[in-house]
Amino acid sequence: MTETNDRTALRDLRRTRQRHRLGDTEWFDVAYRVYLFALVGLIGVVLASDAIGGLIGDDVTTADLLTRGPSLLGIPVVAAIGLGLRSGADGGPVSIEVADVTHLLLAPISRRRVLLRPVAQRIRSAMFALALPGAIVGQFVAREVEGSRASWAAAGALFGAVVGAAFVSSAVLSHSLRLPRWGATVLAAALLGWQAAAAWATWNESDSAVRAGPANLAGSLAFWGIRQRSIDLVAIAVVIAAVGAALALGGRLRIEPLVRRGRLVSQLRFAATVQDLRTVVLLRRQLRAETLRSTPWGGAPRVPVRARFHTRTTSLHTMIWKRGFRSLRRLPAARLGRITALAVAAGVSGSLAVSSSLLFLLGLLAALFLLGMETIEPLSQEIDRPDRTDGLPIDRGLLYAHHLVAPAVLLAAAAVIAAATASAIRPSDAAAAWAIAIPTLWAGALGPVIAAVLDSSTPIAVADTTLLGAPRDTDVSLVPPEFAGFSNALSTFIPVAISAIGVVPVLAMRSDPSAATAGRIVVGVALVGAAAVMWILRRDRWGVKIRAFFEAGREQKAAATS
Amino acid sequence: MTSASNAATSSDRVLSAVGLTKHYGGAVALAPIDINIAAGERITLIGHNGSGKTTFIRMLAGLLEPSDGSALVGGHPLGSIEARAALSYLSDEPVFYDDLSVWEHLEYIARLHGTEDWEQHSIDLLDAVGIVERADDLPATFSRGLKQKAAIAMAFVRPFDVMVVDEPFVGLDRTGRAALLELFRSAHADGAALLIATHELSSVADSERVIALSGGVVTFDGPAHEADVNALTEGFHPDND
Repeated sequence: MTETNDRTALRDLRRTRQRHRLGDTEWFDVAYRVYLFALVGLIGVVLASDAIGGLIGDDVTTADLLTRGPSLLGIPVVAAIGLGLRSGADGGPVSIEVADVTHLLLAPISRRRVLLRPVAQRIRSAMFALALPGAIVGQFVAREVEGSRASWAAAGALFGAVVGAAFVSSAVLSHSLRLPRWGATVLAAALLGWQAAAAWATWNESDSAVRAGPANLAGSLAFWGIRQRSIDLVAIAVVIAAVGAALALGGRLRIEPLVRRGRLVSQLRFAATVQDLRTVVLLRRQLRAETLRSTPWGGAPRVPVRARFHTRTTSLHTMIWKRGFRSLRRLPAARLGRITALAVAAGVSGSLAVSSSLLFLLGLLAALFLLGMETIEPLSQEIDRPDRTDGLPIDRGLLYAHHLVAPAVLLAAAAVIAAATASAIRPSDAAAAWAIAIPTLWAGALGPVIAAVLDSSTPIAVADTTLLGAPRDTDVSLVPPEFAGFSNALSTFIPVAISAIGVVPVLAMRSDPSAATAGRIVVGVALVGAAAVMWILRRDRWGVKIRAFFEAGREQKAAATS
Repeated sequence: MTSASNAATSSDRVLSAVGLTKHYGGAVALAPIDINIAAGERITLIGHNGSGKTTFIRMLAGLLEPSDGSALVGGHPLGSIEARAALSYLSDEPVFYDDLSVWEHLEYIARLHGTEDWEQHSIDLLDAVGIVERADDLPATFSRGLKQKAAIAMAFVRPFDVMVVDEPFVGLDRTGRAALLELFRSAHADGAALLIATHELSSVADSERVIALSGGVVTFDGPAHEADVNALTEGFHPDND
């Protein structure tokens, strides 16, 4: 096939598919939705920024910001590059449909031509996705320092776009240049370490040359609202060069990860559409090709299989705990690294929420929720394999409740990291941080725990009909789409709202950082935790009773009618 | 059709189903089925693809909800703790925890079922299916055949009164098939009832009873020597629906 022919064929195929995809679109409806979203979003941001009153605290001057800010904001830039390098080594960041792999990438046409558009789209969407929050944060900052809201928002958007472009282009380059995973990790760690050292040196006003971090210039772009330096344009030039290289080398993306990701991404889109956060997290792990360790931490059993007799007899409960700890011993290093990073983020957000803006509570909530998601592996394994669970002769409420023991221990370890981080940031709050760290992380994990338990299918021994008496397999079809959407939103919102209990201790310490407050918090969180465990233990029995109540009502009605 | 076993007294029955039905919307996957299985009975369930074997087996295992009808395992409702303790299910699509090795699976399952001397039993089973050297590996990473062998060990490591099995020979090599047949014989000799859904007609020879399904309807239920298995497993005929 000639180059002109393949270009024409590809263009025609995409046009046809686009026509089919957009054929039934009501453009007026779409425009109205965009308008509504933009209007409500804008009003929400303005009102929120007025209510919160800023991000950076009163004791920070504009001069401080311009001196220390670039190296600090260089950290998210190198973090994005590091994550991109890792993502590329794991087969990311581009995903195309499996059908495109089969029919286009295996066809005798230029792969670069086929992949150019997906790579460009990925770069564009990442830039937009980060430019928007960048603009929002920029106008929050504008309330506390000189410069107009518009200029700060524009600078924030520019910074966000640069971070997004840096992430995707470094991922594409890492993927197409076949950077090994260990190489990506070493490079990312080196960049992050260098930038962190630069930020530390700048913060402490050290004279050393270390103050020149690799992403200081990119970090400085966020301050273009009040200071524009021509040297910062170097950062933009570097990012443009990286984007150009990514577009040029996009044709070298590997087929195998594209197939794997193509399959997962369609599931991921569906899970995101129905707001199934647990599935989204699970699929994202699969997208990163993250698998559990084949050899557990501490090594495989040393006793040969044929010599394994007379294992110490343990009770049913301790067997379940043992199974949970075995699960944790197989968590991959990447997951443990993420748990550590989230614990640090929780410590930083918690400390800043006490000393600075309440907005940091959102960061704390996100960290707590994700920490819960990352640590409840034994429970998730059980819930995601009902075939196995339903074959065990044990009440599943009891089984699920005992599966919380191992994650609780892991969360306690994460709480130590979070408390140490918060203590390092504000030594004056160290006692409070240590007092509330474990209750905070445990309470924050309740949301994911409840989301997971709600995901479990109801065994037929508990209920073989819906509450209204219809066969259970007709349940879904009886729910109108409007209510299905509402119920999806509710099932997403409830676990996050429950995790918000985790931020209550931090809020309480903000208003009264005393030992008495800490004591009350511990008691309060313990009661909430006990209630959640009771719900898990008794849920099935309560379900049976509720159904029996409805059944009795139906029988009475039938008797009265006849 | 009612066989001698179907008329077994209630005290003999380890599994009984009355009017067990499954339909998806308007499509009938399984017409109402009445069936009784006596202790120590070995039954082969045959039928063409789509005849309803897997649906029937999964309902008995408590994994699929009947649209109508009910079933008891050892006198207990499907899915109850007592039924789960009495019934072992060996699936054609093995399910494993991602985070446990074969040995850890065996320990977890055996202990939650209260198996005595589970270590020796596990070693014997792993030896029988030939995966003792893979005991510390994650079964989720195994090939199709090795997964099936691991699933066989897990199904037999726990005590049971009745075992329901769906296409157990798929993916197995010759050693695995021989080992599985020997395990079936041994369980049968120990008094367990076996209900095996399979396309392997050689399995019929070892059975006392054959049940044939076609289009979700029982077309034969009787002694194995009376069953014309070739005729009973011929392709699907819409007339049967």
